[in-house]
Amino acid sequence: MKTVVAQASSLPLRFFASLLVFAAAAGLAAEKPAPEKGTVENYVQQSKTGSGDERVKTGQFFFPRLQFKCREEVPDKWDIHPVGDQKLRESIKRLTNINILAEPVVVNLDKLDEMCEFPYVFMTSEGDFNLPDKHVENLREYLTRGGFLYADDCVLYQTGDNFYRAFVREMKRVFPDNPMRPIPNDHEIFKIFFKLNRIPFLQGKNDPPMGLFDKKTGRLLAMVTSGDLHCGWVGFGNLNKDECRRSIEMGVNIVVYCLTH
Amino acid sequence: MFEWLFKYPLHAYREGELGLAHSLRPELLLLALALAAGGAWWIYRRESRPPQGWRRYLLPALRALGLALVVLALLGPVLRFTKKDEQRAIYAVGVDVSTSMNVKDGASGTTRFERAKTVLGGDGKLLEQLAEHGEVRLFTVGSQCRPASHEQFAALKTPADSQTCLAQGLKELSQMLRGLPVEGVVLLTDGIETTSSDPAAMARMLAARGGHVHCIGFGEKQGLPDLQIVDIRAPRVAERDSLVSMSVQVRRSNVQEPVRVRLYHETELIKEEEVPFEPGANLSDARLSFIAEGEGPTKFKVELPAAQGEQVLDNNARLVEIDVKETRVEVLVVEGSPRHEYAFVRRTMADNKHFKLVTLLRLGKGHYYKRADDDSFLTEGFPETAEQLGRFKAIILSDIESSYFTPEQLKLIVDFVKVRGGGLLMLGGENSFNLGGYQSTPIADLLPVHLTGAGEAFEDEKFVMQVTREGADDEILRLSGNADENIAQWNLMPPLKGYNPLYAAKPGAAVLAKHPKPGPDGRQSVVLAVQEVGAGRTGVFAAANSWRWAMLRPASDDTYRRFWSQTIRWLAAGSKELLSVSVDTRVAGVGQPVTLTANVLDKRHRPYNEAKVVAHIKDGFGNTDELKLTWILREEGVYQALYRPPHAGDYTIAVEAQVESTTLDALTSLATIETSPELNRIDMDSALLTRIANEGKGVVDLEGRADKVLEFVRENAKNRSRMLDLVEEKELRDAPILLLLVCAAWFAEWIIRRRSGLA
Repeated sequence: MKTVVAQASSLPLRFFASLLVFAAAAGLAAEKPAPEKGTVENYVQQSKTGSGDERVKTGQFFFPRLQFKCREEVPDKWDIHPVGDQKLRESIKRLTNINILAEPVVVNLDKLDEMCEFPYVFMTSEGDFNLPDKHVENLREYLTRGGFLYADDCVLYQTGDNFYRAFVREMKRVFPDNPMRPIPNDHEIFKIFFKLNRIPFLQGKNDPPMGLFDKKTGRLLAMVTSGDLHCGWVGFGNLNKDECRRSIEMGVNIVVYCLTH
Repeated sequence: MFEWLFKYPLHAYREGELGLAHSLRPELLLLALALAAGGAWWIYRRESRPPQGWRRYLLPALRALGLALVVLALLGPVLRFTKKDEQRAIYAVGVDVSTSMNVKDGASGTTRFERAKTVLGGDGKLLEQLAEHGEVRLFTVGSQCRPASHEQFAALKTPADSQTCLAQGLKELSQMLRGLPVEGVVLLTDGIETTSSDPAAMARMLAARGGHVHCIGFGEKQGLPDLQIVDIRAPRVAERDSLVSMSVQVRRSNVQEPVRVRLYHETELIKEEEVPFEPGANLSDARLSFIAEGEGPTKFKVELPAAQGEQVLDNNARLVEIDVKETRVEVLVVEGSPRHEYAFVRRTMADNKHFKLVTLLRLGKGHYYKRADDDSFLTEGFPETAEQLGRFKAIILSDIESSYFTPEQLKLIVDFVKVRGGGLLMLGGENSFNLGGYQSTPIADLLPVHLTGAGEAFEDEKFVMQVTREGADDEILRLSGNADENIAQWNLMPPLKGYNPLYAAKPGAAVLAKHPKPGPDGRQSVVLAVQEVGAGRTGVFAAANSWRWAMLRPASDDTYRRFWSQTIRWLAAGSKELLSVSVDTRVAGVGQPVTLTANVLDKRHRPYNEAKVVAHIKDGFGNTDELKLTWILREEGVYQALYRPPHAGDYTIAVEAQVESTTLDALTSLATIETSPELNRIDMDSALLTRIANEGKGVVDLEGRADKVLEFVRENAKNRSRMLDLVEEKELRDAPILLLLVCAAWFAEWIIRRRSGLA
């Protein structure tokens, strides 16, 4: 029996597949020969029994938050809802093979070398912001060296998209000849681990996710979403539960994309 | 009656002396006679009625006598006459007609050849004076020895032979004059022998036959300023846009000024370096590193600008051809988990069109990220057949434990390296090396380090990799052509973070980089090591976070990219194509034999000896030669043929190999130029000429004059009668007396046996 592995699958599908595997482990598959080592099928079975069930400890991954200068009138600054980051970290640890560390890390654009220790950085806030020239320069350098920046609009008073717009505008300063463009729904980032046909939307304005693409390879260097995925990670009670789950899945996809591209 | 019995009259026997044509050592002759006598006696002893009384001695003696006479006849009895013939003394005069004789180093600006002609027929009158003592025969000596008439020789203005084979010339000369009384051989040459044969040995052989070999040398013994490119070591094939390193060996003679070497691509100067100079050493190596541009067979010209007072410039420049290719190296990465290390390696490869990364990455439970053009490929995990795996040139095992693979898959990896010639690289991680359980697998035998067992935990500390001297010269870590600069540049690199402690490199491994701090037993842990295994190559890079070299250096720094592209190129370099074709030199001289070699493998990458291999060699005019390559018995799957390019120019060589039902094809090229090893050195080789004369029992004159030689000839002529004994031999094998004596002995034996009732 060969298990065909899709590049990503939805949770119900995975649940169903798990049931099948559990049934096999319970004895239904006892009449069939044991799967060969080195195959995906073997790995799936091993992951339910014995040592294969343990998560493989691998290279460390941090989920740092970017500290940046927000405007005074903005009520929630760059450090809004760290519990959202923590919950996503836990989900990533639970759902994937990524050795993500729970340790919270904050980086800022004043200290480029420190920031470059972390090739993935997350930023969020509610309102408009302007990057000083030095930060623009450092961000350009960070992204050109291979860093990845994910930005999410925390949505001011549940309606605005000021942060989203400001991010797109500021990125135009970072790469004047390479503006951000909408990320199409069939982009790999929506299906690399979980199959999502669109960007989840929690609240605010449902603008298209925008990406900064490498001009040579097409790789995403940075992306911004307007739908407050970060609040979905927190799981606020006023938000749609399914969308909250999808926001977690999208968060996982973004990290997996960063680690595979 | 005497003459009838003995073939020649009695006086002939008085004048001559008896001997044997086939000389046999006396003890062997006696042994043969004793065997004949013993055999005859033994035969009589075995008879049922052995002879009695005096007959028991006489009968074996008669039979032995008959046998002895037969043996004597077989050894060829001769009557030897020695005659004196003073008029038949032969003097052979060989004149060097190679291109080095065109060097103008005479006081009056004349060439060596012009001066040799003067010695022969002008003021020296060598030919005329030799003719007073015997018959003079004239030869030209170059790549071959050829007889020449005086008129032909006089008409020759400029020697053009591309080689000087003095040893071969003396050999051919002695063969042409075989049986003749060669009194002397006179060579007029600069002594620049271009082959590895020893002409002094041939001179010794001629002297053993009674001749004398004299040398008249032309040219400066020492002192001419000269620069020469002795050798160029460069890769025959280079990837486009890769850093190519070329080593140029330069000989400087009597040049004290700084020497620079220039590299041209077509007419464009692309690199210039000063040739290192060590006082007392006349050979030195200059290294030229450059980025290979263009595509296909590309000619580069290496040139040494003329030194002050240098006269011979033909040896200051050489062409070298490098096949600049733009191939895609397909690499299989098996990654145990998503981590930055993979992402950055992939980005490096994605930036570089020479690489194609196929990935099997374990994302989570039952989740794989696979990246391949063919969607069905790798769906079922790691390849399970040699054919599937053979598609790749290198495999990278990145933080993946050994239990992921079946024993059969591990065996496939071993064959992939040893037989297919693929590359295998294991990266550091918490599931690599000992921590991944590889110490008890066949993979451990492939790696350049000993996996000593469990208990060596992954170290998470930061460290700056310490490049070894060996690493500083190695192509993997090469950032500059200079080893010291290389080390300095690597010392500036940001620290890595995390490594697997590996303390024991295998004896055949090259340790390119180490951890800076000694481990518990004082040894430094190996960070980067490589070795060749079977047909392939393996390496370990025990660090886990090389991406830090990308993130913590300015974006403009391409060290990280170069490290990975050079590493993977090195790994993949040994991988075999099913058909690979090479020529033993990419730039050959016209007419120089070039060996064309094809390596043929079957689809399992095993050598195949039953192929039909044909080369279609096309010159620049569109003419095509067809050449069949045959399997050389001493090496599996290797086919060869010799080709002599008939004229200068570029040749395209398309080789087809029929392997079972598949036709494989491969291309290579050959450039042919008018070249001459004659100018490898231009000073007269006085040592060789002296040695030839010494071994040849003759005299040498290194000033280009004939006086010494003529004086020797005159002195020797006085004793010529002793030297010119002509020996004539007359056969006696068919003299009737021999037959009669044999018949008489055996007839007498028969009569006595009959009378005694024994027959």
